[in-house]
Amino acid sequence: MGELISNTKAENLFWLGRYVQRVYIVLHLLRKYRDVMIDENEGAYHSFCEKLGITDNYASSDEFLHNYVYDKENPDSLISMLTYASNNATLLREEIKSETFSYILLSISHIENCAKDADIDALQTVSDYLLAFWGSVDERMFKREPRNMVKAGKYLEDLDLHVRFDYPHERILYLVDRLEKHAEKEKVIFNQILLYQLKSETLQPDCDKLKVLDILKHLFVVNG
Amino acid sequence: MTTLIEQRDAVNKWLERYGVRFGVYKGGVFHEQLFPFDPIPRVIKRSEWNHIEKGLIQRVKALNLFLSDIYSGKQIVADGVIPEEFIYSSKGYLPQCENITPSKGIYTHICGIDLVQARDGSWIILEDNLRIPSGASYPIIARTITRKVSPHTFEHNHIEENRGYIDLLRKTMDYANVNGGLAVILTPGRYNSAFFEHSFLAEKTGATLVFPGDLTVENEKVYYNGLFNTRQKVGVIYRRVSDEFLDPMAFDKSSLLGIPNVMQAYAKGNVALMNAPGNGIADDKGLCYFVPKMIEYYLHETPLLQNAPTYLPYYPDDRKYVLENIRKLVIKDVSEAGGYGVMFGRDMDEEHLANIKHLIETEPRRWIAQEVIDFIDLEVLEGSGTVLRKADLRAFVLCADEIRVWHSGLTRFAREPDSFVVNSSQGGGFKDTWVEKN
Repeated sequence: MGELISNTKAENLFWLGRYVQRVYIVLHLLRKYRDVMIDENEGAYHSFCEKLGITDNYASSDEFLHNYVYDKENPDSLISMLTYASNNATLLREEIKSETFSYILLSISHIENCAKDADIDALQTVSDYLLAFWGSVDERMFKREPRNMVKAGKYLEDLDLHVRFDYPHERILYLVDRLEKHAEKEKVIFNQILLYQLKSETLQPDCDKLKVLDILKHLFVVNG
Repeated sequence: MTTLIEQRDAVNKWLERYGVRFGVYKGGVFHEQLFPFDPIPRVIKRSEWNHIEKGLIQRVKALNLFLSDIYSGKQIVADGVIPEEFIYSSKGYLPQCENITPSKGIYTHICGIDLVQARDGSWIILEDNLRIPSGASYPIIARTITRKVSPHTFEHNHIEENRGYIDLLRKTMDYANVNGGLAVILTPGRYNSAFFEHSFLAEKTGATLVFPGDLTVENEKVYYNGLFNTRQKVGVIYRRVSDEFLDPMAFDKSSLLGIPNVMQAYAKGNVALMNAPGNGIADDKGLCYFVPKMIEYYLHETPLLQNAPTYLPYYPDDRKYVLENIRKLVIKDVSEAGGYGVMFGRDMDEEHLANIKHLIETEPRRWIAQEVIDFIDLEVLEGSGTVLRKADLRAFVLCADEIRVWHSGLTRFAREPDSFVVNSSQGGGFKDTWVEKN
């Protein structure tokens, strides 16, 4: 294995991490929103779309739950996000290893094989596969740089979604701290000025959400 | 064996899990699909294999000497063994490779030789693939999976391990490496039909998978470009990009898949290219006819493996025979590959036959004709039973400090009854190839 990593691979690794983590967190959020939509607020999915910044053209909660998960034509859907993750992973087999890649393929296969009327509950298996994916990243990706790049995507996506969905401030601080510690390992791939600004901004209990999201967008420096 | 067959679904699930696929273009659109796997292996007896192995080593040795000769003194042409026209009119002959001696004199690092077994048990060569033969990864994966799902099958059948291919390939790369630099596998990209194999071999050999644009040439040396202008010298490129696209400065100027000026670095001996550019001359279907003559000419030996009986319309007598017997022959366009340009006389209507005859008369060098070999059928699972299908064998021969034949191979079978076309691009499936242990 070579010591260097190309720009393209660095980007692929970063986006692989982001997409996998996005699916993992979104599944968790979907279970929470599903619970609210049972008998509390049928239209809660409008707020979900707004926070995530995706197009809300669903006519009902049922349509949302179905299309948002299974519709391959919908670029925002869960299956589309997994496909994006797979597209990146396809180019990285020798870096991430076939076993790690297999958990993404298993997730896609599971969703494709789910009954058309399957509820969110049926997707717990996907969450399990994605946790196995991250376990495999730690176990099998023995080269430091690629492992750190895929994790940079993970931590950044984690923080992005926690900010968007208004998680408690102490949780945000924990994620910023984790990201900062990670950035210490691979300084060159993070914009250090933006990292400092991120830390300063998030220290405020009433931090500017839009500003934080904008910083996160530009934090990874090989991201073209 | 029964247990293995019962585990067919389990095998397919594993293949899907690992994304074992190949790409095909249908109507100009790229699709990836699973390569249909049949769990009944082809079994080759040790005595048969010993003969095949010797014959393949002999053949590859002669082909390597031919390439060395043809890109230098061309003694075989001067001595009248091969007509000059067969060299210079071949698309595979590249004048840009004249007088370039590759690392350690090896041109044919990885050869895929296609054979069939006739009903009398003899093995016959169909063609040599000396450019970028693919397919070795599939039997390796199939073996790994079948051993997993049906370990007992392998306790009772004493067969050669096939996963040693990875070490063989890595040693071949290391042997060719000119400076101890980085070993890379150059892929044209994910929309190449064999992309899965490129990434799989990179993973298993520990080579770096590189894409067009990742490599640059400076001062006749090749570098892999890393983040933030870092770079590393490259010592060997196992390239899975065709000759014509390999270097836009030397070949197809419009190529975006190659490495500008890599031929300069190669000519200076600053990087090894596997396989050597220009090998296409030796696996030209028209030249295949002359391989037994090459063996006699260079090695002074009798060929151990025979070609399928082949006619060259270039020679007037052969042309006359082909035109008179076209219905019982298979006609091949020498410039095509992957099962394309192969026509069976018996399947053509009158109009088509007349067209082909006209083309044979006007462009005789473009065609070869072969007797249709009635090669053996192999059992293939279909539904709950088995059916018989035509199958060939792609054997892999690797050249480093010595020439080694991989003790396995890719057995490809036709999916349709009565079809002789086994290529994956034409819908064929594959089997593992078991070679009995000594």
